[in-house]
Amino acid sequence: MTEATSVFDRFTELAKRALAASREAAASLGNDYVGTEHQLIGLAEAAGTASEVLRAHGAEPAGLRAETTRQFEAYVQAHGDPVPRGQVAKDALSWLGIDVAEIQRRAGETFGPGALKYPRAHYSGRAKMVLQSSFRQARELGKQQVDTEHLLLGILETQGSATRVLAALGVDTQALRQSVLDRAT
Amino acid sequence: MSAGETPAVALAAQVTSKDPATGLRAVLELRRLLQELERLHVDNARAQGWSWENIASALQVSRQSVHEKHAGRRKAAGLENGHD
Repeated sequence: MTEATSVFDRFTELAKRALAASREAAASLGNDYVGTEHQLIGLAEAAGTASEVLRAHGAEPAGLRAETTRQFEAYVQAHGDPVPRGQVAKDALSWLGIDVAEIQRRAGETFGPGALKYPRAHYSGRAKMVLQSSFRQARELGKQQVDTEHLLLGILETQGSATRVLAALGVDTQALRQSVLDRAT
Repeated sequence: MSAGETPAVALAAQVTSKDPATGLRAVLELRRLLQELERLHVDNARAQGWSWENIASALQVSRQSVHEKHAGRRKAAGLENGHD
């Protein structure tokens, strides 16, 4: 192997697809960040051990999406709309005299609609913790690469929006964790 | 704040240009925009068969730095197949 090792080499193909699905889940729910709740939806929607175990415990993609939306709306009710980072970013550039919409329009003309993504959804602090935890989970289970089950273990270890969604759906997270471990060893 | 204006726009209008937070935020966002533009044009170059060597030379950076920055991402997205 001549190529430099990149962070992507630390994930299996299925895990990479699940992470891509979580980014899409965030976008389709209208969120401009990737949180643990989107990682959970991505894992449920993509193929892999995590998806199978989640379904076996009654956590289907549709149910996860509905509950995630419900909790987000409840948050907005209580705290107001989170500041739209995308607008703040565009305002900062417009202050410099840069018209992002125009740049995106020209990029779209040449390379197709939506070719220039800006601003890109960023990972929440907890979503980053999930990734770090998944590296540790894989290592402890003696695996070279992080697979979907390690990401799911990371989510279960990192208390956050995802574990709140699972709790609201009546999923027994202890039993879920045990099922993952049974499959992962 | 007139109708249709978002709070963020109103906020941006209120802060003065001497406020370092405004300028630094603009620099940060410009860097992020630049990163996205670089991804777009590196992808275009690769799609047109440019070598990493040629891309690095056009960007006036080392081949290693451009490869590190883009090869893994492109592989993960299924855009890189074969060797380079």
